[in-house]
Amino acid sequence: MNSKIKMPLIPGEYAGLQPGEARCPGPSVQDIIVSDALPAPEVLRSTNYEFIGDSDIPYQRYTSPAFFQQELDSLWPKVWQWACRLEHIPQVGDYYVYELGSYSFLIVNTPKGIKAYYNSCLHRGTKLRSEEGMGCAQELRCPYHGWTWTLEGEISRVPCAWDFPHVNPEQYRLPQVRVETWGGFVFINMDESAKPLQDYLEVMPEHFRNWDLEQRFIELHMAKVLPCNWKTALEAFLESYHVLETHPQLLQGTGDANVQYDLYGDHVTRFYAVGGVSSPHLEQQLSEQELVNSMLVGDRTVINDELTVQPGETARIVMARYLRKILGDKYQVDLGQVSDAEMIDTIEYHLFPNMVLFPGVSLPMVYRFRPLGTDVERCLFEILFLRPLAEGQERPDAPEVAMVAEEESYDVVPGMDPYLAHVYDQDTANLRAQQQGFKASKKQGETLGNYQEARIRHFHRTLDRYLAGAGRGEG
Amino acid sequence: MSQFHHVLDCADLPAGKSLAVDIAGLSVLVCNVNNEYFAVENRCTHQGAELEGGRIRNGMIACPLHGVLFDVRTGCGKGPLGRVPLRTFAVQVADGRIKVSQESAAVPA
Repeated sequence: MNSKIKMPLIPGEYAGLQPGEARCPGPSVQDIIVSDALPAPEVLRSTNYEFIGDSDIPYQRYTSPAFFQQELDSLWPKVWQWACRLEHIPQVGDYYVYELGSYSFLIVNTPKGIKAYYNSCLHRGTKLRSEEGMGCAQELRCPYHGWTWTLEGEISRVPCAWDFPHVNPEQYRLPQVRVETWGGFVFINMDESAKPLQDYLEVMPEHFRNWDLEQRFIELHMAKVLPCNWKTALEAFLESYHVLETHPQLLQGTGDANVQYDLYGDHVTRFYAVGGVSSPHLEQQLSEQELVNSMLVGDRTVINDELTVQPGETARIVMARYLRKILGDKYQVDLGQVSDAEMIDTIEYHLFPNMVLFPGVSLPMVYRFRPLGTDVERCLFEILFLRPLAEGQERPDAPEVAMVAEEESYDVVPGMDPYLAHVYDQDTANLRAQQQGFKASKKQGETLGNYQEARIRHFHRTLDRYLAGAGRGEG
Repeated sequence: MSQFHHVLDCADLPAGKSLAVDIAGLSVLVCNVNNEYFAVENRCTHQGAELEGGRIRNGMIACPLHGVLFDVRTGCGKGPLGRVPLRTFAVQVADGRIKVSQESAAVPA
């Protein structure tokens, strides 16, 4: 334990504070970033937390086939969910097959804009396209009997049309789902009466107004099968409380227990973890120079020697200045106005239900968590790295997804930093044991930390609103 | 000793494009993937459609008929409709001239 900061190990009455009021002893994120050279933007200098309860979250939500079916019936058909990015469908004719559970959609770049169709032939149901991911076509033709639709979804060919007098072409347009875009992401919603995406995103467009994710390109896209419910996997990334025990190598350089957690509306939460500081858990706090040396867990290919902390500087200032230059050169963009915080800190947003975004510059990931088919206890975890696209630079082709098998390490993915891969391996190594532990437990549910694990509780609260049929369209 | 035919000049084939050429009676599709050149049989193994003009991304060509994807570097197809790989042909490039072998490469076991 850190001899300077007193941290009790057994919970008990905590100095007369209300539930949810207690915080990690030691400096807060806001205390730390105040001494940065290029100050953090307004959006990072605000906090937004409220205590929303402390009762346990039942395990059956992660293990029950009935609960999983409820999600398929009442959650997934009612939410805006991102299917692909614009760069997956840049030309007319390009399409992306997006699937979740038994649902399958064709997101198509048509001469009349982006449309999304249920991926099922209106003759006898065959999927028009059976492989997930990118493709291209000038028309949508079923490989079984050749029924064909234009890209805009109008029926153009029924072989032996004489046999189908009962087929009225007007009623045989390909059924569509709602499509809207934000930040370079293409979102769909199966609910025809859903409120617009902009409303669903709540505070995110405002928070992201200086983080233009459309002006990014996918440098890497990988997917790994995980042996747990999609929510089990998601929740591993909604809190930093586990850094102490799961990623102890990160304590030298990350403020873990003093991470800031913010809750907004129904659909958006955030954590903000500062880098370039010692964990409050560490007995021996690192010097500024030691902190700089320990911070190189991200892109190790960009190392050189400009990493000496001058008098009056902090590790944060040095690291930010260094990365501005290195990443600016690598991606041919001017990062001169980007704050220290945006350069080096871990800023992570969750958009309900299954999207995680990191708008910072040096750790620029996007995550997605989807159930695998209709398996309650397996899911697909995707990681994308979005890098800055220089003005006027030709956009590279969006990469194919690099698949990682359940037993493989993330480091099999070309271009994945091995230290980062190790962090992900550490995260997912816990998940099988947790998922199985749900069923082995006598206790009925999870106990959550009031502050550090509040985003998990907030997520379940919103999930319940959707399952009750009340989560959308109102007010 | 395989016979190579000069079929195209590099200038004829911009990046991302494909052109069909006749080699000893066989239609062979020459593809430019980021200025590397590959050659495959110009015939989708699914239903025999011509692949020429199919969109090429990440080294994979999409058959214009049903969208079956094939990696033009290896001939391997994606999904059940792409179960049978395309025949591939060796390519030599020198002095801006593209030469393609008359014989298809051996298919790996």
